[in-house]
Amino acid sequence: MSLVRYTVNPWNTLQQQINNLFDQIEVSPVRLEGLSEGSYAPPLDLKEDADAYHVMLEVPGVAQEKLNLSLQENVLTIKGHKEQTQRKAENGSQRIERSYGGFTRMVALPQTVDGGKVAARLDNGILNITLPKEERAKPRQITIGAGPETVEAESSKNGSGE
Amino acid sequence: MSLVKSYSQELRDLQQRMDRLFDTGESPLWSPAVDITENGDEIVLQAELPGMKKEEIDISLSGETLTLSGERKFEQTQRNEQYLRIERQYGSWRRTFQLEVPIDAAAVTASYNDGVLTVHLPKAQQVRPRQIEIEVK
Repeated sequence: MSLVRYTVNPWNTLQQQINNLFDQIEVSPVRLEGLSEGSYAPPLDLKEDADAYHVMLEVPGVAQEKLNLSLQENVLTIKGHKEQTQRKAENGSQRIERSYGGFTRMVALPQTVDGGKVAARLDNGILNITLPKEERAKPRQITIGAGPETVEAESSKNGSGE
Repeated sequence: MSLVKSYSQELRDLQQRMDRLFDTGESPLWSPAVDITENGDEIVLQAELPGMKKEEIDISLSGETLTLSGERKFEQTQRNEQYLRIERQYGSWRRTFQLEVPIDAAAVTASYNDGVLTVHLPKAQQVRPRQIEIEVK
Protein backbone atom coordinates (compact mmCIF):
# COMPACT_ATOMS: atom_id res chain seq x y z
CA MET A 1 0.00 0.00 0.00
CA SER A 2 1.26 3.42 -0.87
CA LEU A 3 -0.20 5.48 1.95
CA VAL A 4 2.95 5.47 4.04
CA ARG A 5 2.87 8.05 6.77
CA TYR A 6 5.54 10.65 6.61
CA THR A 7 7.72 10.41 9.64
CA VAL A 8 10.76 12.39 10.59
CA ASN A 9 13.86 10.26 10.47
CA PRO A 10 14.89 10.08 14.13
CA TRP A 11 18.55 9.70 13.21
CA ASN A 12 18.53 12.97 11.33
CA THR A 13 16.88 14.69 14.26
CA LEU A 14 19.42 13.23 16.66
CA GLN A 15 22.26 14.25 14.40
CA GLN A 16 20.87 17.76 14.19
CA GLN A 17 20.60 17.96 17.95
CA ILE A 18 24.13 16.71 18.40
CA ASN A 19 25.32 19.19 15.79
CA ASN A 20 23.60 21.95 17.70
CA LEU A 21 25.32 20.87 20.88
CA PHE A 22 28.69 20.85 19.22
CA ASP A 23 27.99 24.19 17.57
CA GLN A 24 27.43 25.65 20.98
CA ILE A 25 30.60 24.14 22.35
CA GLU A 26 33.00 24.43 19.47
CA VAL A 27 31.93 27.38 17.41
CA SER A 28 30.75 29.93 19.91
CA PRO A 29 34.11 30.37 21.69
CA VAL A 30 35.58 31.69 18.48
CA ARG A 31 32.57 33.65 17.38
CA LEU A 32 32.01 35.27 20.73
CA GLU A 33 35.66 36.10 21.25
CA GLY A 34 36.05 39.52 22.78
CA LEU A 35 32.64 39.66 24.40
CA SER A 36 32.95 40.72 28.00
CA GLU A 37 30.74 38.00 29.41
CA GLY A 38 32.99 35.31 28.04
CA SER A 39 32.35 32.27 25.98
CA TYR A 40 33.59 29.41 28.08
CA ALA A 41 33.83 28.59 31.74
CA PRO A 42 37.14 27.17 32.98
CA PRO A 43 36.60 24.58 35.74
CA LEU A 44 37.41 25.35 39.36
CA ASP A 45 37.63 23.57 42.69
CA LEU A 46 36.65 25.21 45.95
CA LYS A 47 37.81 23.97 49.33
CA GLU A 48 37.56 25.22 52.85
CA ASP A 49 39.66 24.87 55.97
CA ALA A 50 39.32 26.44 59.39
CA ASP A 51 40.85 29.76 58.35
CA ALA A 52 40.21 30.28 54.65
CA TYR A 53 38.56 29.34 51.39
CA HIS A 54 40.77 28.18 48.54
CA VAL A 55 39.81 28.51 44.88
CA MET A 56 41.78 26.64 42.20
CA LEU A 57 40.90 27.74 38.69
CA GLU A 58 42.29 26.15 35.53
CA VAL A 59 43.79 28.84 33.30
CA PRO A 60 46.31 27.04 31.07
CA GLY A 61 48.08 29.42 28.71
CA VAL A 62 46.61 32.55 30.27
CA ALA A 63 49.14 35.27 31.07
CA GLN A 64 49.11 36.72 34.58
CA GLU A 65 48.40 40.23 33.30
CA LYS A 66 45.30 38.93 31.51
CA LEU A 67 43.69 37.87 34.80
CA ASN A 68 41.55 40.13 36.91
CA LEU A 69 40.16 39.38 40.37
CA SER A 70 37.52 41.28 42.25
CA LEU A 71 35.58 40.70 45.44
CA GLN A 72 32.23 42.18 46.29
CA GLU A 73 30.61 41.10 49.53
CA ASN A 74 31.12 37.35 49.43
CA VAL A 75 31.20 37.01 45.64
CA LEU A 76 34.55 36.45 43.98
CA THR A 77 34.72 37.35 40.29
CA ILE A 78 37.57 36.14 38.09
CA LYS A 79 37.89 37.52 34.60
CA GLY A 80 40.50 36.58 32.09
CA HIS A 81 41.43 36.35 28.47
CA LYS A 82 43.23 33.52 26.71
CA GLU A 83 45.14 34.50 23.60
CA GLN A 84 45.63 32.09 20.73
CA THR A 85 49.41 32.04 20.39
CA GLN A 86 49.65 29.28 17.82
CA ARG A 87 49.79 30.82 14.36
CA LYS A 88 47.33 29.59 11.81
CA ALA A 89 48.33 26.76 9.50
CA GLU A 90 49.74 28.18 6.29
CA ASN A 91 48.56 25.55 3.89
CA GLY A 92 48.41 22.54 6.16
CA SER A 93 45.64 21.43 8.42
CA GLN A 94 44.56 22.32 11.90
CA ARG A 95 42.60 20.89 14.80
CA ILE A 96 41.36 23.25 17.50
CA GLU A 97 39.95 21.82 20.72
CA ARG A 98 41.12 24.49 23.15
CA SER A 99 38.84 27.40 23.96
CA TYR A 100 40.06 30.94 23.52
CA GLY A 101 38.84 34.39 24.32
CA GLY A 102 37.39 36.01 27.38
CA PHE A 103 35.80 34.28 30.34
CA THR A 104 34.15 35.26 33.60
CA ARG A 105 33.67 33.02 36.61
CA MET A 106 31.82 34.04 39.75
CA VAL A 107 31.96 32.14 43.02
CA ALA A 108 29.65 32.89 45.90
CA LEU A 109 31.46 32.03 49.10
CA PRO A 110 29.42 30.72 52.02
CA GLN A 111 30.78 33.47 54.30
CA THR A 112 32.24 36.92 53.85
CA VAL A 113 36.02 36.99 53.66
CA ASP A 114 38.67 39.52 54.56
CA GLY A 115 39.09 41.31 51.23
CA GLY A 116 42.34 42.94 52.29
CA LYS A 117 44.04 39.59 52.85
CA VAL A 118 43.13 37.78 49.64
CA ALA A 119 46.20 36.28 47.96
CA ALA A 120 46.52 34.82 44.46
CA ARG A 121 49.27 32.83 42.80
CA LEU A 122 49.59 31.43 39.29
CA ASP A 123 51.21 28.01 39.22
CA ASN A 124 51.44 25.69 36.19
CA GLY A 125 48.24 27.02 34.68
CA ILE A 126 46.31 26.92 37.96
CA LEU A 127 45.23 30.16 39.61
CA ASN A 128 45.32 29.53 43.37
CA ILE A 129 43.34 32.05 45.37
CA THR A 130 43.34 32.07 49.16
CA LEU A 131 40.53 33.99 50.83
CA PRO A 132 40.92 34.23 54.62
CA LYS A 133 37.69 34.12 56.56
CA GLU A 134 36.65 37.30 58.28
CA GLU A 135 36.43 37.40 62.07
CA ARG A 136 33.11 39.22 61.83
CA ALA A 137 31.68 36.49 59.63
CA LYS A 138 31.87 33.94 62.39
CA PRO A 139 28.56 33.14 64.07
CA ARG A 140 27.44 35.62 66.70
CA GLN A 141 24.42 36.42 68.78
CA ILE A 142 21.97 39.02 67.49
CA THR A 143 19.58 40.74 69.87
CA ILE A 144 16.18 41.88 68.69
CA GLY A 145 15.54 45.60 69.21
CA ALA A 146 12.71 46.84 71.46
CA GLY A 147 10.69 49.27 69.33
CA PRO A 148 10.44 50.54 65.73
CA GLU A 149 12.61 53.49 64.78
CA THR A 150 11.10 56.56 63.20
CA VAL A 151 11.39 57.14 59.45
CA GLU A 152 13.55 60.23 59.99
CA ALA A 153 16.02 58.43 62.17
CA GLU A 154 16.26 55.62 59.61
CA SER A 155 17.02 57.87 56.65
CA SER A 156 19.60 59.97 58.50
CA LYS A 157 21.27 56.78 59.61
CA ASN A 158 21.49 55.55 56.01
CA GLY A 159 22.84 58.88 54.86
CA SER A 160 25.63 58.97 57.37
CA GLY A 161 26.53 55.39 56.68
CA GLU A 162 27.48 56.03 53.05
CA MET B 1 44.35 16.00 5.89
CA SER B 2 46.72 13.72 7.72
CA LEU B 3 45.51 14.26 11.29
CA VAL B 4 42.43 12.11 10.90
CA LYS B 5 41.47 10.14 13.97
CA SER B 6 40.31 6.56 13.85
CA TYR B 7 36.60 5.88 14.11
CA SER B 8 36.85 4.29 17.55
CA GLN B 9 38.89 7.21 18.86
CA GLU B 10 36.34 9.63 17.46
CA LEU B 11 33.53 7.74 19.18
CA ARG B 12 35.40 7.62 22.46
CA ASP B 13 35.99 11.37 22.25
CA LEU B 14 32.32 11.88 21.54
CA GLN B 15 31.36 9.78 24.53
CA GLN B 16 33.71 11.70 26.76
CA ARG B 17 32.28 14.98 25.60
CA MET B 18 28.75 13.72 26.16
CA ASP B 19 29.73 12.54 29.63
CA ARG B 20 31.09 15.97 30.34
CA LEU B 21 27.90 17.59 29.10
CA PHE B 22 25.67 15.40 31.19
CA ASP B 23 28.16 15.24 34.03
CA THR B 24 27.63 11.53 34.64
CA GLY B 25 31.15 11.19 35.95
CA GLU B 26 31.20 7.60 34.72
CA SER B 27 34.19 7.88 32.44
CA PRO B 28 37.43 7.19 34.29
CA LEU B 29 39.39 9.18 31.76
CA TRP B 30 39.57 12.85 31.15
CA SER B 31 40.58 14.09 27.80
CA PRO B 32 42.78 17.18 27.72
CA ALA B 33 42.03 19.64 24.95
CA VAL B 34 44.63 19.60 22.18
CA ASP B 35 45.36 21.95 19.29
CA ILE B 36 47.36 20.62 16.36
CA THR B 37 48.73 22.75 13.56
CA GLU B 38 50.43 21.31 10.52
CA ASN B 39 52.70 23.48 8.46
CA GLY B 40 55.14 22.73 5.69
CA ASP B 41 58.04 21.79 7.93
CA GLU B 42 56.50 20.62 11.16
CA ILE B 43 53.48 19.63 13.19
CA VAL B 44 52.95 21.57 16.41
CA LEU B 45 50.79 20.16 19.19
CA GLN B 46 49.59 22.06 22.23
CA ALA B 47 47.80 20.30 25.08
CA GLU B 48 46.13 21.91 28.08
CA LEU B 49 47.43 20.15 31.20
CA PRO B 50 47.05 22.63 34.04
CA GLY B 51 48.25 21.56 37.45
CA MET B 52 50.57 18.81 36.25
CA LYS B 53 54.28 18.44 36.74
CA LYS B 54 56.64 18.04 33.82
CA GLU B 55 57.70 14.61 35.12
CA GLU B 56 54.11 13.37 35.16
CA ILE B 57 53.63 13.81 31.42
CA ASP B 58 54.64 11.01 29.07
CA ILE B 59 55.27 11.59 25.37
CA SER B 60 56.07 8.75 23.02
CA LEU B 61 56.45 8.59 19.28
CA SER B 62 56.26 5.24 17.55
CA GLY B 63 56.54 5.54 13.82
CA GLU B 64 53.85 8.06 12.98
CA THR B 65 51.83 7.49 16.13
CA LEU B 66 52.16 10.04 18.89
CA THR B 67 50.87 9.15 22.35
CA LEU B 68 50.53 11.55 25.26
CA SER B 69 49.61 10.21 28.67
CA GLY B 70 49.79 10.99 32.34
CA GLU B 71 47.94 11.13 35.58
CA ARG B 72 46.70 14.08 37.54
CA LYS B 73 46.30 13.09 41.16
CA PHE B 74 43.65 14.46 43.42
CA GLU B 75 45.35 16.06 46.39
CA GLN B 76 43.62 15.47 49.66
CA THR B 77 46.25 17.08 51.80
CA GLN B 78 44.87 17.88 55.22
CA ARG B 79 42.25 16.33 57.39
CA ASN B 80 40.56 19.59 58.30
CA GLU B 81 39.99 20.45 54.65
CA GLN B 82 36.66 20.08 52.99
CA TYR B 83 35.88 20.36 49.30
CA LEU B 84 32.79 22.42 48.56
CA ARG B 85 33.00 22.12 44.81
CA ILE B 86 34.98 19.90 42.43
CA GLU B 87 34.70 20.74 38.75
CA ARG B 88 38.22 19.83 37.68
CA GLN B 89 38.87 16.33 36.40
CA TYR B 90 41.44 14.01 37.88
CA GLY B 91 42.93 10.64 37.07
CA SER B 92 44.71 9.02 34.16
CA TRP B 93 44.45 10.30 30.66
CA ARG B 94 45.80 9.21 27.31
CA ARG B 95 45.55 10.66 23.85
CA THR B 96 46.82 9.08 20.65
CA PHE B 97 47.30 10.79 17.31
CA GLN B 98 48.00 9.25 13.93
CA LEU B 99 50.21 11.86 12.33
CA GLU B 100 50.46 9.98 9.01
CA VAL B 101 53.56 11.95 8.14
CA PRO B 102 57.11 10.67 8.74
CA ILE B 103 58.65 12.58 11.64
CA ASP B 104 62.30 13.30 12.32
CA ALA B 105 62.13 11.62 15.74
CA ALA B 106 65.55 12.84 16.88
CA ALA B 107 64.52 16.46 16.38
CA VAL B 108 61.27 16.36 18.37
CA THR B 109 61.18 18.88 21.21
CA ALA B 110 58.70 19.47 24.00
CA SER B 111 58.19 22.17 26.60
CA TYR B 112 55.70 22.76 29.42
CA ASN B 113 54.76 26.31 30.35
CA ASP B 114 51.81 27.80 32.23
CA GLY B 115 50.01 24.47 32.14
CA VAL B 116 50.37 24.05 28.39
CA LEU B 117 52.46 21.28 26.81
CA THR B 118 53.90 22.20 23.43
CA VAL B 119 55.42 19.50 21.20
CA HIS B 120 57.27 20.38 18.02
CA LEU B 121 57.41 17.49 15.55
CA PRO B 122 59.61 18.32 12.56
CA LYS B 123 58.72 16.39 9.43
CA ALA B 124 61.28 14.02 7.98
CA GLN B 125 63.43 15.68 5.35
CA GLN B 126 61.97 13.73 2.41
CA VAL B 127 58.39 14.93 2.99
CA ARG B 128 59.10 18.62 3.47
CA PRO B 129 57.86 20.77 0.66
CA ARG B 130 60.52 22.09 -1.66
CA GLN B 131 60.25 25.16 -3.75
CA ILE B 132 60.68 24.33 -7.42
CA GLU B 133 61.59 27.11 -9.74
CA ILE B 134 59.94 27.10 -13.11
CA GLU B 135 62.23 28.36 -15.75
CA VAL B 136 60.70 30.75 -18.23
CA LYS B 137 62.07 30.24 -21.66
